Amino acid sequence: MLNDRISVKIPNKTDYISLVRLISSAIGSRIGYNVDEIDDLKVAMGEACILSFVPDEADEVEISFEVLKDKLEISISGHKGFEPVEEKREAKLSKMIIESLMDEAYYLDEQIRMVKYID
Amino acid sequence: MSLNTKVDFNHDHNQWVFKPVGEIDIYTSSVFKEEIVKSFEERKADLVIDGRQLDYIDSTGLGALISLLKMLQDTEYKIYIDNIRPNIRKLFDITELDKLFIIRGDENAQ
Repeated sequence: MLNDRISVKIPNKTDYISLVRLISSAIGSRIGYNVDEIDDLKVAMGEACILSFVPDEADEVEISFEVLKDKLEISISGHKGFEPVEEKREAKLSKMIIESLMDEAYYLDEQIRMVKYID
Repeated sequence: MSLNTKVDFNHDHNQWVFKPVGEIDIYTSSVFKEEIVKSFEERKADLVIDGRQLDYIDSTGLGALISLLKMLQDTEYKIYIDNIRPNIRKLFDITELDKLFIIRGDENAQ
């Protein structure tokens, strides 16, 4: 899967978060993550989706996984940025979880990017 | 993405015991919270969440637990989180909610 890019477009409905977790789990397994790493990836992806699947925004959320030699890079569109003051309590929890379970996380204007290293 | 919560009232200890089986997540957390609020309003008592069969919780589920904690904060009652599995305990630690909740017995979790 080296240098492969897997991209999926999913309707912007929270109903599909479990599908994203399932896809993440399959990819994590294929690239050799252990059980704990796969679980961390699934949990972080669930949180990134909660932040990204925003009602009344885009019709679709695009998620792409890029498998590199030493890391998995993920980007999720749909995220619209947060004003720190207005940030919901649960969004803070999501970010704490993502930042702890992934090696890198960036919240850009219209997407979340995350990196998890491959040992 | 499914949750079935067993609800019991323990008369010996005068407490509600909730056993969530499955996942407390964006699909199920509001129903889970409503069930506990309804029980508490029916009879005021300590709340025990027995997490032995809880597979997964996300930030919305943690948010539901925080709002239950707030519901109890000006009362004499407490909320206890019992027997959670290591993968769930990890999320309480990451979010520092382990400092807010009374978490018991997780060392016996499978």
